[in-house]
Amino acid sequence: MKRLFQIELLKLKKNIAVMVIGIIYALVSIFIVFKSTGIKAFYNIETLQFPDIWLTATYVLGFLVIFPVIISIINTTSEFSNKTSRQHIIDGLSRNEFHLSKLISIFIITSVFTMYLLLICLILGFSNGGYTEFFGEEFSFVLGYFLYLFGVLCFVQIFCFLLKKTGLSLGLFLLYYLCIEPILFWSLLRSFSIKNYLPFEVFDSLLFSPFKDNSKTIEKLQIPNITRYLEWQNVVVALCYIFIFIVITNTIFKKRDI
Amino acid sequence: MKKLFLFNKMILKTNSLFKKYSKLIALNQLSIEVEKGIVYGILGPNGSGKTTTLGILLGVTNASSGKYSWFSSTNTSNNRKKIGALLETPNFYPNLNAWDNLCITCNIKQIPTEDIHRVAELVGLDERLFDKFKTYSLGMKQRLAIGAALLGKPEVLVLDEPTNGLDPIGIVEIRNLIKSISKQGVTVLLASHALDEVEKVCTHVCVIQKGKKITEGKVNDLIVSENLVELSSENLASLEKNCLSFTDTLDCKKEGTVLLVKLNKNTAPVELNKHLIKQGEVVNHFIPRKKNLEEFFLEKTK
Repeated sequence: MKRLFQIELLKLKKNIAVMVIGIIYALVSIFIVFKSTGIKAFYNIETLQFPDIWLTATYVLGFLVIFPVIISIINTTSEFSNKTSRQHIIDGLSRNEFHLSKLISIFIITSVFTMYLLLICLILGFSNGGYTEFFGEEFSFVLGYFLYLFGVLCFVQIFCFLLKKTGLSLGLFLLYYLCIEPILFWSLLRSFSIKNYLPFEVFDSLLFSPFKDNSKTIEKLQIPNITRYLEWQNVVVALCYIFIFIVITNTIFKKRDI
Repeated sequence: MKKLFLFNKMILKTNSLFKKYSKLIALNQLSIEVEKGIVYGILGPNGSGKTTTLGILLGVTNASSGKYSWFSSTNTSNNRKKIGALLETPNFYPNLNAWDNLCITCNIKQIPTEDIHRVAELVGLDERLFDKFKTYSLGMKQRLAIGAALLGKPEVLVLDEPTNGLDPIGIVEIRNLIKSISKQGVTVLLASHALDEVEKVCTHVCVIQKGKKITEGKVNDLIVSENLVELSSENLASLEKNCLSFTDTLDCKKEGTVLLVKLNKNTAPVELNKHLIKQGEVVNHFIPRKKNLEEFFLEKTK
C-alpha cells in the first residue's frame, strides 16, 4: 500500500501537464469563490463568512470538476499509452494491485483538491471576519465535496480503463455529463422518481445546492428553504455508486489482455 | 535420487497453452519445460506466437486455456518479482528520468534503489541516468529496458528480441552480457527470430511456427552450423562434377543459377577453391554462407 502510494505520488508530482492544470485551477478557483457573492442576493447566506463559506465554496467549486477529471484522465490513460501498465504487471504487480494503485492516485487527487478547498475557505473566511460559528453543520459539505470528487473520478476511470485514450475518455465523459444524463433527466425519466438516482444527480446531491428547494410550495420572492447540511441518505447512495464503478473497472481490467 | 532432483530444478513448466484472438489461433497447445541454469531460446518467424507466449507467462495476456507455473509455485505476481523481463518495446514514463523510472521498478519489485547504479553501469547508461527518458535514442531505451530487467539480480531473465534496434557493437555487447549473466547461474528465456542469435547465445531451443511447437532440444543437436558454399560459373554441370570430386564435399545441389555445396565441418572453403583451380574450373561467384532461418524452417517443417 505504502509503496503504491509512493509510486503514484512520484508520477503525479513530476507530470508537467498535471502541474499546469493544477496551477490554473488554483487561480481560477480562488477567484470564482471570491466572486460568488452574487448568491447572497437571492438566498439568505453570508457567502464569504463562516460557517456559510463552506456552502458557497462546495457549491461553486463543484462546477470546476472538469479540472480534477482532466488530471485523473491524463494520469490513468498515460499508463496505457506508455504501456507502463503492462510493464508494472510484468515487474510483479498483480492486476488488483495495479487497479488499487490507480484508485490511490484518484484518492491523492481528491485529497489535494479538498485540502485546497479548505485552504481557500480558511483564507477568505478569516479575512472577512464576523463569524458566529466555525465548524457548523455546514462543514459536512466538505466531506460531501470529497465524496463527490472521488465518485466522479471513479466514474471517469471506467472510461479510462475501457478506452485507454486520453481524448476519447474525456470526450465520452463530457458527452455523458453534458448530454446523455441531462437528456435522460429531462425527457425519458421525467415522470419517474428514478431520475433522482442518476449518477450525477446523486453526486450533485453531496454538494450544497441553493437551487434545490425542499419546500414544495414557494411563492415568488420568498426565500427558499435550503438544506444546510449533508444528508446521510445521499452519502449511502453515492457510496453504492462508487462501489459499483470500482467493480466495473476491476472487471474490465481483469478480462483484458494488456 | 533427491540430489538429482535438486540439480534439475524446474524453473518453468507450461502445459498445453492455447490462445485464440477472435478467429486467429496464436498459440496451439504449447508445452515447454525450462530447467535451472540454461539459456532457453524460443525461435520462430514474426507472428509465430513468441510474444504471445511470453505475454502469457508474464501475466499480461490471458491464455484461452492451459496452465503454466514458475518455480513450481502458483503465486504468479510474487513469482514475477523474481523475474527480470523485457517484452517487445521498452516501456517507461517519457517525462521522467531514467533514475525515477528505475526507482518505480525497484519499488514494485521491492528491492533497494542502490542497485540502480550497478545496472546503469552494466548497460553503460551511468552518465545519462538523470536525463529524461524521451531524450534517449532507440538503442539507449533498449539498454535501459535490459538494465531494468537486471534490477535486483533476478533468478530468471525473460528477453523478447533483446537486440532489436541496437547497432552491431551494441548487439555484440548485449549478447556477451547475456552469456556472462547465464554463467552466474541465471536462467534465461529468450525469444528471437534470428537464427544466429539463438545459435550464439542459447543452449536449448524450441522452434515454433504458427503457434505450434515444431521441434525442441539442445542447440548443438538442432542447429549445427553447416559449412555451405554458394558457387556459380558459366558451366554449372562441369562445376558440379568438379565439386563432387573434392574429397570433403558432402552434398551438392543446384539452386537456380547457383550451386550449393555442403562441405565437411572442419574444411575451410578456400580448400574447395584450391581444388577447383587445380581442376581448371573458373568460378564467377564464391560465397561461404550459413543456413538461414527460411531454409531451417523448410527443413524442419518438411
